[in-house]
Amino acid sequence: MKVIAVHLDRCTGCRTCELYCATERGSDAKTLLAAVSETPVPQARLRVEGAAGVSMPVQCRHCLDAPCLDACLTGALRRNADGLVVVDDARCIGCWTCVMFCPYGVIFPWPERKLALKCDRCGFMEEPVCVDVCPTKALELVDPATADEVYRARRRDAVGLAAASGAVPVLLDLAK
Amino acid sequence: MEAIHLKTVDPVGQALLRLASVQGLELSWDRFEALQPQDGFVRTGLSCAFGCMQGPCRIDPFGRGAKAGVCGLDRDGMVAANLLRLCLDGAIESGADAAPAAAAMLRRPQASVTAMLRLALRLAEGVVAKAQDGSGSHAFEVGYGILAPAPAIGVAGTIAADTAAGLAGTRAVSLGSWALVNGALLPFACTSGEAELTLVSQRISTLVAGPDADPGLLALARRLGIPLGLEGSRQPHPAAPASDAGIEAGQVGKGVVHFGAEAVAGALKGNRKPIALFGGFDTPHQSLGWLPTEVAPALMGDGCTVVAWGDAALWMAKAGLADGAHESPAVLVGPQAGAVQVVQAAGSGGIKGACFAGLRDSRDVALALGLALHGVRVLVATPLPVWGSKAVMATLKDVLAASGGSLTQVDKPIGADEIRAWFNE
Repeated sequence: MKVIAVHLDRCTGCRTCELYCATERGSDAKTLLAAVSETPVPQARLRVEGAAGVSMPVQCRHCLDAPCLDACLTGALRRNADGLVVVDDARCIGCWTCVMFCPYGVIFPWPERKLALKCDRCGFMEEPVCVDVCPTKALELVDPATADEVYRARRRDAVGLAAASGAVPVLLDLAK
Repeated sequence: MEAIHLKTVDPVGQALLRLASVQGLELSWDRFEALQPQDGFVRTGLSCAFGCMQGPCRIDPFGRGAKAGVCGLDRDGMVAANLLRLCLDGAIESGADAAPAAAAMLRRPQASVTAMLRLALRLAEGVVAKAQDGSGSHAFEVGYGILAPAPAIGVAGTIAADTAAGLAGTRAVSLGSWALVNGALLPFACTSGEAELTLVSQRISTLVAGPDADPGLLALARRLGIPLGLEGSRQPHPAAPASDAGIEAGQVGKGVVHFGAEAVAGALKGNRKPIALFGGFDTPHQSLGWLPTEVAPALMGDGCTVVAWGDAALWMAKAGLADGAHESPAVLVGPQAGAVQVVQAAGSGGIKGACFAGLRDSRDVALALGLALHGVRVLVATPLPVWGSKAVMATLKDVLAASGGSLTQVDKPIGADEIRAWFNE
């Protein structure tokens, strides 16, 4: 199962992912300009949150031990064959129990349609809309099996930074 | 590359696109694609146009995020201000009179939506009043075939009179700009949207560019080693290189363009058919040339006299639709004032509608609004940034309806069939 990774250093908080998610996945018209006039107002399945100069799009992590799955009263939330946690609209009764249980706050109530709305990673599309439209490529669809490449680069950066700041000798001292 | 036909309908242009791809040259389409998706806040008019430095402010079109700017401006005011600023820019380009009032209104957002829209329309009317192209009727040729015999000096953008005088007696061609040299129009090697492609053909020996030429065109010329400016034009022309683009002498269309109210009225004298105004400039939102060459013949078949301006006129001439030998040739008018002069000559009652295939700049936005204000049905085939406010769209509709005109908005670039259907409504 691939996951949506976020490059925090690239996110500018432009919220393009939100706008186009709402348009593509929440509107009937499928064009941004028509979607903004629609009723009920189209909803995005992710949110860009930010504070103190840092921004980041947050969407469902499809947790391996997902509290929302246990919380769902009607069985509308289920894990599909690809490992994604998805909502069966026909079964959802809009009780929002899953909304309360989600530790990331990324299941959104949609009262007008009496549905819980969450990221399904655009499973039926080649690539999630948010990943496709991000102008700075801050969002990336990665396979966890190969994600270590990303982490390795970050670890190397961390070591380089530590060395540059003179912290390495301290670490060596600690090793003694 | 499989979508190359979506970029231009001209086979030579398509061959040049392939050539550019092989050579790794970046063209306007590459930049356009890299810019996708275009900023949703700007597209909806919800990115603030006011000149203050408290922002930048953006309003969430779906109503969950910011509902007002730092100063308290709401979404309706923001969209109206955007339209006003576009018209102000167009008015500044045209030298219209209401610019100071608009600048004052844009300083702080205290005016109502209606007041801002009325001033925007006043600016648009000023743009219409100031529009001019020159005078007389001028025959011209257009097409890549112009470049077949030998390389030429390419002229892009608006060039100064002394620069034009310096080009007299040289082998100069226009890269989409309507330039008069010694009282005659330069032959067009291409439309404005194809200018970069034409450089790729290696048949432009020197580029003479006005201050409004695209920076990308100049960068490409430097990359290809094409000299810039009149100094370069005095260098001996190199022999025409062997081109893979299939440029041949026969690829030339002909037309006559009418500049000025007198010439336009003369061209329409005796016309009994309803007039379909179809013009505007190349835009990467549409395959270049597709709309003019598809819509114009259909409208002619529907019994209309097609009057064209701008790049659309050049495409029609390229396709032989403006040739005197054609059964009902398109009438070509000036790119700045032609559409206005047609309305003045025929009256808004004789006009079936005016369609802008593409807008080049703010002046075109103001011109579209100005035509609607003169009682003409106007369609802009690419979206305008007003969709963020239902109130602005409704007010605009009401104000224009009071003058007998309308401005049809589209939420995505529309096709030939939809445009033809709009004309026949």
